[in-house]
Order: sequence, then structure tokens, then C-alpha cells
Amino acid sequence: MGALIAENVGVRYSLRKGMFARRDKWALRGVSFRVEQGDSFAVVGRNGSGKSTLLRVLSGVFAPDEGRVVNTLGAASLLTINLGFVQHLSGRENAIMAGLLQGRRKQEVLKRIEDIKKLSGLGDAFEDPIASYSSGMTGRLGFAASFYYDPAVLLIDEAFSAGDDEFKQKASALMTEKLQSGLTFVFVSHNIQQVGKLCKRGILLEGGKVAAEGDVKTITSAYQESQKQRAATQREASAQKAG
Amino acid sequence: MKKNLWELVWFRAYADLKSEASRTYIGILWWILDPLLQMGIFYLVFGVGLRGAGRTENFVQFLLIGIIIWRWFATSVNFSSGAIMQNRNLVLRLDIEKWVFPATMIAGNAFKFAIAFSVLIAFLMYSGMPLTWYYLQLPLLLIVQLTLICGVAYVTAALVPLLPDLKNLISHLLMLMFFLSGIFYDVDDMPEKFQWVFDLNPMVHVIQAYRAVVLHGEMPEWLPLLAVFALGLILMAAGIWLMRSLNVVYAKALQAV
Repeated sequence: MGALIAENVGVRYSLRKGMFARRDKWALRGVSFRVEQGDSFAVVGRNGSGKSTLLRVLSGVFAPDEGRVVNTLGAASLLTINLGFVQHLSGRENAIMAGLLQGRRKQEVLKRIEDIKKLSGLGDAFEDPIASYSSGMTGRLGFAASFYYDPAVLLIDEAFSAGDDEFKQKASALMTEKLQSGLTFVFVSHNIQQVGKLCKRGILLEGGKVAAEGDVKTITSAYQESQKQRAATQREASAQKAG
Repeated sequence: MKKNLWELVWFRAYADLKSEASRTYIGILWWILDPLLQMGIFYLVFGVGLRGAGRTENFVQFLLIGIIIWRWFATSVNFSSGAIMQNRNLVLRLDIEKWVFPATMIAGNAFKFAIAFSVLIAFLMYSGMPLTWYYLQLPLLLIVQLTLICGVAYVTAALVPLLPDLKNLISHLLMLMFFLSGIFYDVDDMPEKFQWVFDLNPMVHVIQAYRAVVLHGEMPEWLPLLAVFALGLILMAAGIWLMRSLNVVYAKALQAV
């Protein structure tokens, strides 16, 4: 059986600091973990801890500068809502675009298109240019248009619910149902509750390094602990400043 | 190459064209009006105003062929050179073959060129140029030019995201090439000692070939065109090779911008 394995992965950004000057910064360093078939894997961490960079490495958008990613499960790709949408195209046309961007054949997308229309709940507006949509409607279309194409490993960045309040619940419920049906996925988030509900195992990233790993309870409590500590240091620092 | 990617290219080209048409009141009429206006301006400036180059027979037709053919090349290359950067948010989220982006630009521009070229041919007929059997060579000429466009466009598209400064240079190089392509003068009238410059410019051969066919009703010189075709194929292969080997480099380069 296959697995998605990160071995000592490091990613370095080179920041432009002037006409020719560059400064290197490691966004990830020494990150290792293993995702098995059927795993629900969480990557938890604050903003800027390297979560999104990690997803880019796993999806093949970035190549690691150190270490390697071995994937024998099949395509790993990002759940992309609204990606590549074109304002002047209709909802239907944008749904086709979304499918094509996710590597599907047009024929396959066309077979799904009525399901997408139904799921989006847009009705006749499905044939209107999305420039006329509210942000809630665009979110619904985006969710529906990417819902049906599951890669071998689904990579999810932050909240996957979209649309207006009523739709958010529906989307969240559908997604939860799908994820719990044995799909292999990596879920990146700082929403501890959602992580606790969906994932079994994972890692906690801090400053681009793995700060904790193991079952979901271990990493969520480690995350909460580090948040507390951080808040405490910040209080101290501001107290010192004031004093 | 994957069939899905070609479907994506056509669909994105269609999306671009539709967006472009939706942004203006008269929409698709611009695709006819654009070449007409440009042809009109060049006619006024060079055909009526600066009649200096009047030694050339049927100067207006001569000029307009040059303009329309050049425009196809220049706009395709110009659009394609920024194609990968323009699709930054896709490049940063999807592991996708990058040639798709310049190919989309080339497809959209080819469609607009087809309209402009039809307008040109209609004008030539209207102005009394005879329709000859030599016209049957046009598809081959179009293929040669398309290959050259793909070659130059792929290579520039591959390099610009990594060397963004190149984008600025390209518009100047295109301008220089415009003046050196014999668009509003006949390169055969130029001094002997400069002929090598024209010989090395692929667009000179392409433009001369179109003129031979539709203006003079004769066979174009196929040997230099064969060289242009080969050059196009080599550049195309180099461009695709570059985009494939740099595939994961682009996202990082665009992230840092």
C-alpha cells in the first residue's frame, strides 16, 4: 500500500532586498512525517509557521530545497475554491473551467455539470456571468465546482466552507461526510475544533519545524499550550515595556 | 501531451476572448475594427503622407500585408511573454505544465489574426488584386509563421518569470525588429552591405513570402522559409524543455516577487 512521505523537507525563500541583494529564509526545515492511505492528517500551526508552504511542497508546486517528498498514493492536489474563475463567464462555464484546471477531461466535467448546478443551488443564475453574483453566490459555485473531483490525496488549506451562512452549514456537513468516508487528506488549519473533529493524526508546525507530532489530541493540546505560552510572553513583554 | 491540457488551452482562450469582448460596448466588432483602423492609419501616414517610398508598386497593399502579418507575430510574443506571471495564482496553487499559459495567448491571438487576415484579403480583392492558384500556399505559410511564433513565444514565456527585466527589453526588441522587417519599405531596395541583417531576420522572409503569394502572384522562396520553420521548431522544443525543467522554479520565483 502506498504512502505520502515527507523526509527531512526544507524550503528556502530568497527575498529580494535591493537591486542585487538577496536574503535567504527557511520557511520549512527538517520536516518529516508519513501519511498512509485513508489517513486524516492534520497540520496545525500559527500564521507564518510554514503550513501553506508545506501544502505547496506536497502538491508539487514547490520542490523541496532539502530532503524529499515521496508519494506513492497518486496525485495530491489542493482543494481550490474559486481558483481561476473568470468574471465574464457564466456559472456553468466557470464550473467547466474549474474541472479542467483540476485535470479532468471536459467530457467528464460535462457529465457532472448538472450535479454541480444542483449543489450550488444557483438555479437560473447558473447561466449568468459570475460578475453579477454576490460573494456568497460565488462561494457556493466555487464549492460545488470543486466538490466532485477527489484526487488520491486531497490537500485542504483552512476552512473549506464557503458561501452564505445557510450554505456554509450544508457545505461543512457535506465535506465532513466526504472526508469521513475514508478519503486520504491533509488538512491545514488553526481551527482546533474542526481539526479535532476531522483528523486522527498530525503535526504541529512552529517556525517551519515540527514542534509536536502524534494523535490529534497530542498536537491540539501542544498547540493550545504554545498559544498560552506565547500570550504569557507577550503580556510579560508589554508589562516590561510599561514598567 | 495530455488531452486535458489542450482542452484547458482552448477553453481559457475562449474565456479570454469572451472577457475581452464583454469589456467594451461593441465587443467582437473591435476585432474587425482594430485591424481596419490600424490599416487606415498606416495608409494615411505612409500611403498618402510620406509617399517617399513610392517606388514600390501597389504600395498600400504592400504596406498593409506587412502590418497585419507583423502584428500577429508581435502581439502573440508580447502577450505570451507575460503569460506565466499573469497566471500567478494558478501557478502558486496547481502543479500544472507551464506551456499552457503562452499556448492560451497564442490561440487567442491566432483567432483575432484570422479575422484581421480575412479583412486584409477582402481588402486586397476589393482593390483589384486577382485571386490566384498561388493562394493555395497560404496554409503552409501560416503554419510556418505559427511555428515561429510558438518558438519565440515559448522561449520568452519561459525566461521572463525568472528575469522579469527581460519583459521591458522585449518590447524594445520588438520595436527594433519592426523597423528591420521591411514593413513599410522593400528590403530589396536597401543597400547591399546591410542585406545580411535582413537575411538573419526570420520575419523578413515570412513577410516577403506572403507578399510574393498575394501581391505578386508568384512562388515564395521556400528555402529560407524552411529555415524559419526549423528555427521555430528548435525554439519551441527549447521553450518546452525550459518550462518543464524549470516547472517548480516558477512558483517560487513568483512567490518572491
